[in-house]
Amino acid sequence: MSQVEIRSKKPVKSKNNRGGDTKAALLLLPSFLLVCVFVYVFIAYTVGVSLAKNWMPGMPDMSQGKNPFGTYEALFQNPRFQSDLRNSLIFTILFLLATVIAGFFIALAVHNMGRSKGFFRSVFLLPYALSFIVTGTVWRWLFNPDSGVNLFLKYSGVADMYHNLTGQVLRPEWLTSADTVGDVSVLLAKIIPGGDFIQIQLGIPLALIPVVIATSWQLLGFAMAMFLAGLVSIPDELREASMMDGATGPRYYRSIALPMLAPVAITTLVILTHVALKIFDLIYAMSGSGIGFSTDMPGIFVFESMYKALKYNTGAAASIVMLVIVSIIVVPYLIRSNRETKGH
Amino acid sequence: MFKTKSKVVMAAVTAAALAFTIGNVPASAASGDVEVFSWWTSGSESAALDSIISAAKSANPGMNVINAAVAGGAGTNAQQVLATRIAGGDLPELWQTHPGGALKGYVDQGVLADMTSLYKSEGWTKVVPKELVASLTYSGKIYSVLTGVHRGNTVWISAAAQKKAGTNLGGKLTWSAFKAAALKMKAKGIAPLCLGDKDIWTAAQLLEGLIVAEEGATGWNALLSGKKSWADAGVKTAIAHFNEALTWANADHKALDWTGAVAALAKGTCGVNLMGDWAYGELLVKQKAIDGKDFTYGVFGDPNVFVTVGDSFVIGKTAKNQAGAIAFAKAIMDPKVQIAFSKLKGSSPVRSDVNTKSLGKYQQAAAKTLATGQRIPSLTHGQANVAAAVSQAYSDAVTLLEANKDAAKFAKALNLAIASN
Repeated sequence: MSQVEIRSKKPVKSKNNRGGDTKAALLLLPSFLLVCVFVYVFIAYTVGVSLAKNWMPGMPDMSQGKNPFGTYEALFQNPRFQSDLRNSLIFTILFLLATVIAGFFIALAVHNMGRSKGFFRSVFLLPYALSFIVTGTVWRWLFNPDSGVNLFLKYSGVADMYHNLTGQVLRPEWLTSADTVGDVSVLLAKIIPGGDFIQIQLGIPLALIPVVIATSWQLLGFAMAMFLAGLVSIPDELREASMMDGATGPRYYRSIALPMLAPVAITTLVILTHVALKIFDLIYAMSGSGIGFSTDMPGIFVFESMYKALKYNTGAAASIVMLVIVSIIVVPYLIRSNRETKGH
Repeated sequence: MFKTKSKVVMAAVTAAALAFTIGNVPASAASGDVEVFSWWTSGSESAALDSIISAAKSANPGMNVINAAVAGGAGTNAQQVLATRIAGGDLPELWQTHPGGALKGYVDQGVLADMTSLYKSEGWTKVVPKELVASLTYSGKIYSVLTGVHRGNTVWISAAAQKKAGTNLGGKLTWSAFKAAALKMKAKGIAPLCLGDKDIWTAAQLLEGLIVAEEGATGWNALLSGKKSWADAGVKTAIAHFNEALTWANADHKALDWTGAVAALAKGTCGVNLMGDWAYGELLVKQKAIDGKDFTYGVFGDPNVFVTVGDSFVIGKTAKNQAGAIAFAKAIMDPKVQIAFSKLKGSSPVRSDVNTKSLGKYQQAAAKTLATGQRIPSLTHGQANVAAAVSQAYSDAVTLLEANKDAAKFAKALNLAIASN
């Protein structure tokens, strides 16, 4: 918004405009050059490493083998990396659904609260201030099958009730589950020629669910704060006018507030998506790779390939794949918001 | 500013120290800054490192040791910092590395100083077991010194669990004897296997111990060199044992790390734990358990087979203070330092000519097996003469095995990794 205002004032200041542009350009130049070198040159270098046969820090040899894309081919055939891509996709979808929906409703509740508004806003925002490592460690203990959530189920009587109703023991395995539900890989292998290329179960690994809950818990406050800001920016006149026209509360939210919150929702989604795709520390602390890589993520794979296996080209290739996936989400968003600013 | 100041202070201290000790300083004493890079930051580890540092300082009064330790991740984090420094050509005088694959990586990059002549002039080749020297040797050149060697295939047995179940495991463990005891423990509500495999290496180590029990030292070496396929009958049996053993593990095994498993063992809520003998220190110091009373130990298969997990230091070829680095390496290999270090770290001294009487009961036995038994390198801990990527492939294959129980897929992955080594 502020940019729009500056633009509209331009004609008034037209005398000094040219000089101002040069000054601005000069001011921007150092940071522009730094970004060029430390972001784009290094991305290019990483691409080079990923195509090289055997790059090592002490012997930065960029020469390529017969098939420079061999590292990428091996990467996509690696069952671990296949699991990582599956986990990343499923984690992102579940996490976005949980965080955005819950964040929206909590924002609505907090927005309509009277005096205690500030208190509840802080309560929901606090987890966001924690480090991912702390969250991961705490939730690891909460989802330990012998403590935390299962003890709550036991002592609250829920487990007994479940036992009486179904005759089965309610003792979820949480992070220690090796099961995958909704597996479609057998089906796919039959439909797609060469479908046996997929060496993993394409379903939802149950061990991912606790991880989704922990991550959503942490970022709920962020989503809520975004929606709260959006709700506050809707002028009260609109609400009053809609009431005058006979709109009920739900009708007002559906027809007026929600459409006006769309830009906020999109920004929140994009920011949360790139958090989800790049997630590392929370999962590293909470469950590590999990049984059969049920909670492994591309970020963990990059770290271990580079510094445990010392396969720098594999690590570089995986990080380039991550970059491409994040770009698919972020670049259209940047283009769109760029166009919007120009349009005004 | 700070540097100049500290140099002045150092010079003053050195001068003062020299004035007092001038009589017993050898003519060849090294001086100047020696940077030692490691991942030893936790209690017993940093205390053990300090014992080397103080010995090096008292032998070389002019030497200033800079302890550059990076915490965490069994060296993975330190590796990250070191990779950056190597890329920038800024090598520390000495840094910690695993013998085997990781060491080979540095040799390939040409960043290590050759220690062969040092080994010969100091007579170390005569006192360090030949398999250990071999794990430090590439193309006939020796590149590293060992501070100590841990045993990676010890099975710790809870006395409380044995008493409750009325079993008597110890010494040489056969699978059938273990299974019989495990079923008795299970009947008493004790989880027969203590496991904390939040980090996969603990499960990988268990499987390694079971494979070694079936294949023996010769078979294990053949598997590592690619002379034997990982689809071998012995490996298949070991995998079947591994899969069965996992069903006996404590329910929360995936949420615990190795120290959690050791704590459960001390309490007696689970029976046995296959763990490197860094668990000895954990049992004695943290769990206040008494050797022989609260726990005993054994080995799957031949008790004479010692799976080695060595801690080693290498010298940076282009590091500034070569004389200082060599003096520090000599301090590491000093017989007194080897014993002092082992006491604190819980490992066995690498020199077979030192007196181990002052060490704990378990350690004396382990040191004897190390000196006289069959020594084979741990793949789990990256000690074998294969690329680090093979160790990673092994731990990845174990991660998948825990879920799919598929011995054929496991064999395929390992054969492929060894072939492309």
